Amino acid sequence: MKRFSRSSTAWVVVFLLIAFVGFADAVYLTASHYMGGLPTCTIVEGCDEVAMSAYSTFGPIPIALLGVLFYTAMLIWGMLWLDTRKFQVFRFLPYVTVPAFVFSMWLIYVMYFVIEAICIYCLISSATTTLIMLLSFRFRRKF
Amino acid sequence: MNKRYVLWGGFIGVIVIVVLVMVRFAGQESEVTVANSAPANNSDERSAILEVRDDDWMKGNPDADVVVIKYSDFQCPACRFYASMDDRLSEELGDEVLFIYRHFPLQNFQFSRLASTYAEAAGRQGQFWDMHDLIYINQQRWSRSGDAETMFNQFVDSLELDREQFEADLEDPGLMDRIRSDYDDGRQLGVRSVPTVFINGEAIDSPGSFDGYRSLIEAHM
Repeated sequence: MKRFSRSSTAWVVVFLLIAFVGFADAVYLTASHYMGGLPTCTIVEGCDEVAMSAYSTFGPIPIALLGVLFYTAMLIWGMLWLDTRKFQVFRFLPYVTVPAFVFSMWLIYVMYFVIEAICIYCLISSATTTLIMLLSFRFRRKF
Repeated sequence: MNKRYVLWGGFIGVIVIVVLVMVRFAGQESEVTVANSAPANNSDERSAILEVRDDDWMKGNPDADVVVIKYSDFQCPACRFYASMDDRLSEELGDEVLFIYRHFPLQNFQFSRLASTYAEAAGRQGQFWDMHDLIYINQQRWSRSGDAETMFNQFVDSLELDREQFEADLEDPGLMDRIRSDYDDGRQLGVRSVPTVFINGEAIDSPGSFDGYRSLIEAHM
């Protein structure tokens, strides 16, 4: 087991920051979903289209909420490392981040080619999910 | 041990703050008001636009004390909600209220303009509201179909409209002019989202519920 170094800590902090961005984004979308009231459609963006489409929920569960759960798990995972300093903590991380990445790519596909809209919040979430996945591979190597 | 508490305590603290801030943002978003975004306008022009016109699409009593003018888009889901609310309110409030529909088709929707032209053409044969209802009731199906025109043509048939007349009207540039001028009027009034509702000339904030909407209307009675 390798000893932790400054740069390891830095990477995990980066991981946490990215996860926080994703978390904030997902919380915002989830809250919007539940507080929407009667959302109007604006001249400018595609966010309402996406958010009001049938693809925004998995049955009764808004996808944004799944995002909140995912990012919460990522945050806790990162915090566990900061607490224990053992890279073993990250052993199974890719098993979660890769499916999440694949799912998020599918959502982007739907957003762009099916709903034909572009929602910035979705793009942010895909970016953070991708980065998190890449970092998870890096952590795996350290283990 | 201490360090651990600080670490996790700090973590939970940050999470709570982020959640509160984001929920706050989300709450504010749903309260965008048109009144605030309306450009300072020549108020004479504004009042002129918000007057009832003879050729407006009206539902209810033309002499009613309360006039509700709605700028709306046929492909917007929120507009569909409002359409059904207006329908219900029109039944419940009867002679007290006049509902007026004005076109405000958004660019981001593929079939909004088309739907507007079909509604207008139907209106020329006295069936604006019937076509309006068919379009909204079936909104989810045609807006995702990739080919709304086919469904719209089915509506023409089911309303038993005169086909030839209908097609001639669709081609009439005057028809598109009418839609365009509604849209321009809306922009002049500061309409940037749909639906935007004016009750007796005043823009209203998006009400959160049917009852909220109803109260806003009743407040003017």
